[in-house]
Amino acid sequence: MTNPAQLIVRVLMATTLVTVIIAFAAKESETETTSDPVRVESLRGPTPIDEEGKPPPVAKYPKQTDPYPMQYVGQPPPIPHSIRGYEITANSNKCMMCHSWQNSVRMKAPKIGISHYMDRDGNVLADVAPSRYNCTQCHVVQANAKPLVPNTFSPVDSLKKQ
Amino acid sequence: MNGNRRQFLKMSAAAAATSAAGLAVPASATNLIASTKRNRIRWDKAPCRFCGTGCSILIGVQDGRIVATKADPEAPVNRGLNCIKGYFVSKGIYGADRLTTPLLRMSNGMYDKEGEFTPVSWERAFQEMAKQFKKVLKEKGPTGVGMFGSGQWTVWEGYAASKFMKAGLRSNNIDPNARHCMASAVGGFMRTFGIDEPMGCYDDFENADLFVLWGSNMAENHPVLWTRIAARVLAYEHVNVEVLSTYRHRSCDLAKHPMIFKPQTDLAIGNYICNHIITTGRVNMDFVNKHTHFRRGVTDIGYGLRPEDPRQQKAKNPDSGDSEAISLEDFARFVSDYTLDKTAELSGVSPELLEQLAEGYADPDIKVMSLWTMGVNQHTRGVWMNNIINNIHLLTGKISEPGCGPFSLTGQPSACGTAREVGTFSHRLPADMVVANPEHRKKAEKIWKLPDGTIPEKPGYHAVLHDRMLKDGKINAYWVMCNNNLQTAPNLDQETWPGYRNPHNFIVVSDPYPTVTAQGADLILPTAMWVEKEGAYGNAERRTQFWYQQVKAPENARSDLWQLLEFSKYFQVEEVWPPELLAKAPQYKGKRVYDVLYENGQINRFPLSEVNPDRENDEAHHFGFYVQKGLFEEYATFGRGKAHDLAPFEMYHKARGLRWPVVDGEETRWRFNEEYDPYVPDGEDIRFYGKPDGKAWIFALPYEPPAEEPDEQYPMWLSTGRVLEHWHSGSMTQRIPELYKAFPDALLFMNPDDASELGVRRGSQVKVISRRGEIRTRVETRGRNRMPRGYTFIPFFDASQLVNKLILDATDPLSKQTDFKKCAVRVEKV
Amino acid sequence: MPASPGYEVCGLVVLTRPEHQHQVEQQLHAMEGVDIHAQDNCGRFAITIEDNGQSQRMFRKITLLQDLPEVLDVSFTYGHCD
Repeated sequence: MTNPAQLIVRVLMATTLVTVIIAFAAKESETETTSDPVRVESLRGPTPIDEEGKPPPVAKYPKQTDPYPMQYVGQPPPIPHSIRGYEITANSNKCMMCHSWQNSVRMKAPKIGISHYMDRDGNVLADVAPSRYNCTQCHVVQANAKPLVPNTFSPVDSLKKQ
Repeated sequence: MNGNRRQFLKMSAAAAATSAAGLAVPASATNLIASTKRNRIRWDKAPCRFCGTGCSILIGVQDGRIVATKADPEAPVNRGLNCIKGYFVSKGIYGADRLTTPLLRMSNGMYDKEGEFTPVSWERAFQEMAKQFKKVLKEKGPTGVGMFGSGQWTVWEGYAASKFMKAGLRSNNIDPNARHCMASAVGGFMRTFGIDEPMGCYDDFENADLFVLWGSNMAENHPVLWTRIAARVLAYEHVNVEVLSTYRHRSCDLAKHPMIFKPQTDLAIGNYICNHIITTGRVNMDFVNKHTHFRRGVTDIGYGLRPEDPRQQKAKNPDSGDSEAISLEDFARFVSDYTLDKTAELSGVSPELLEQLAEGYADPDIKVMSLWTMGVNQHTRGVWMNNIINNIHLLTGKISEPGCGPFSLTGQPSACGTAREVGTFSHRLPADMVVANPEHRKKAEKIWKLPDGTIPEKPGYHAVLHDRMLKDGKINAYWVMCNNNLQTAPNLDQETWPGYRNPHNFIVVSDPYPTVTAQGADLILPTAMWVEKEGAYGNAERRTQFWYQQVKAPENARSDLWQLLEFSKYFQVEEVWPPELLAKAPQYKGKRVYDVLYENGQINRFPLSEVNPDRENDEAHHFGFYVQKGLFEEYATFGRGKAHDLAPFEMYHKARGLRWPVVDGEETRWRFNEEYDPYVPDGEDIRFYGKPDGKAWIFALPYEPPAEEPDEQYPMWLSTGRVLEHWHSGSMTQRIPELYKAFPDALLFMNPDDASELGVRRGSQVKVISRRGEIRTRVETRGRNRMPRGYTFIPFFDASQLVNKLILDATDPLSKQTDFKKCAVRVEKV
Repeated sequence: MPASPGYEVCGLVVLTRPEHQHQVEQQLHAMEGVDIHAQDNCGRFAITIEDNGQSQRMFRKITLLQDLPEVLDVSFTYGHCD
């Protein structure tokens, strides 16, 4: 049996992702006999399957940054600040110290959305719905990391950066 | 800026505010928006592409692309709420590296396993693939080919695949990745009740007084269902949640006293609870006498390892699921061994907490819902553990009524709908039937209009055996569809990867993205995904949900359904059936497998005029008939009248899903209960009709140790699993920037004291080594998972850290499901 | 070319108790740039605020709204700045 490592290395031609995409598109109009080989690389990058590369350093999350652009109306906004050490449990919720109705004006922080005051049956409650205690179910911090591959999603015009 | 634009912006603001307030949209706003063509978004429903919860999503489409997503306020499952993955699910189809053309390994214009991936046409791809499959069929017969499918296939894709393999190529070597996911739950339900899937439904969440999580971390893995539990626990003084786990995680935050137990001792805890129920006189005698039998299961059944493994050779009754009848007294004697003290000692949980848990089950006034997923299912005694949880509910009669029952959650969007109900396993047929039963085969052959003897009687290879047989050269042509098994199967270096690169094997991988598995393939087929096709999924509460195709797939990507049906056109019946079989159905002579299986007068009976004219349906237009409806209706004939009734096709496009059995247009919320289930005869109150006499089985099953435990050489426990932000192997969620950035790389969670003993700290690079392989990762000592001394956890989403190199390929001997939750490792400083 | 004046618009949901609905309605009408687009009789208003100035002013206006007597909550649903 061939050494699988050699095999993968051979497949990994030094082409950029962009050229691969262009190559794919170009192939459509050509006959298959003229097709050139392409690189197939998973999110592992160039590391062969039977080897393990050096792991990247632990991701760093910004202490405080500008709000992230929204992709669509109703999207839970990502958290633009560090939440290291925050306790978010049934008994104690650090997020509410700034984002609750009571505190947000004083703390100059965005208020949690009105949806958070509604239960499953659409009743508006006097306080945050218990089902919403788990803030990090929807709101997440964003590491200073470059996506492994670009994403071509594009929001509606009104939400695009002007 | 002109006045019109201002007016438009103002009206948009008004509309957003109005709709957020839940008020009627003023006419002026709707008019303006409707008249502005470029602002029109077409909204339609689809179930989420990720876990088995089955949240409904609204998809907003503009100019042929998805531009927005929101949680569906009308969906009973999630009522306008998603988790972070659901909110961003639509971006999962827009990774820039979508595969758009078939790729075949070639040298000098010819297929070459050592060649380089070269773009080819679909025709060229299928020609090569058919050539390879036919060669193997000729040399080895049907057992030489195999297919590894998915609980993420749509219902009709799973059905078409199962039919193609079992009746077309006559091979039972088809298994879904759901084997890794909930085969033990299937085994448990079948063994106890004779019929698969939970009897209750999600409405139990609003009715239970106590939730018991057996090894499940719902806060991260079923977040929307967790909100339904939180809503109860936080709002009602008397409602509680008990969390059993081998380490502390986010779900523990809602429990008053989380119970951290030693791996595998859940078996003992379950038996202790039964013992407590009996010794405190709280057996529901009326229920037990009327509705149950007692059985003693065969023990010492091995670990599903290769036969030559010493642990396997030591087992007295390898793979045996046999049992004998016993009495309640026998059962009581059996569980009396599991005293409070002994169980506390074995499990490491304090006697007080164990007793409190047992009391919750025993107290006749507390309605209890037991919930579990991979902790119980990915377990070398997974079926037993399922049986034991069922035992507890049967002894107390806390079952099949609102707020009560054993409820296995699922990890994939259609683990139930496709893998279990369609029966895409190597031993199953639709509607809980099995290939080993001649009556069942006959029934399937009749529905399929095929001659007697078409379906082979011997069950095929299951998931883990696929990999072993590929390595051993018993399977040589293999099609992997809709999963990333090279990343997710156990013991990658020793058992999975060798089979992919075995020079005698031809491996085909259908996927939207270049996954690790695709990298290991010989032919890659670019695949349309999710709302790029019309589909149906079935969630964990028996809810079948449909969606329409919303957008087109990129370039030459085609759905699994298209691929399966098109590929079947490359086979003449004569090439796959023996002459004596064909002689029984001479009308099929000279036909293609496609004609026999799919243009059989049933599947092609619904014309294109029935397709929704306002939606795309690439498959229907390609094949010339409403192929999804035809497949669904033929499939539904298996279950109608057999307690698996599905509603007529059109109903599902209108409803936010319906829970089967759907009888006379009504869904069934609690099965086996006369009040809710039309299959229970009048006056019977409760009937477990999966068993011939209507009685469920309570099993006496002991604690037995795991296949591997830490020792001097490998002193730490390792469990794998998921994190909230990623789903399974990460091939979709790692391509969604918001999710990637939320948790970019896998980390090894470990106890800070263990770390300092090793001389490492948070962020240090370490090697994790098991008897099977090693990986490199970084240490995390805080955050969401807090590990006890000697325990480690690492998620498996990260393609650059293939944690399954470490995992032992031990399975439950009955369900054949791998134990991904416990093996022994050593952590070394790098 | 001189810079044209900016345009900024926000959509907001204002919540009060039903018994204070009329009072809050009067206050909203009195504010410059505020329009009520819809209301129910449970104390909810859907409003817009327009402004041609800088964000600071818009921010102050929203803060002002929040501080109005009997206003329980103001939630922001839409914002655009040209």
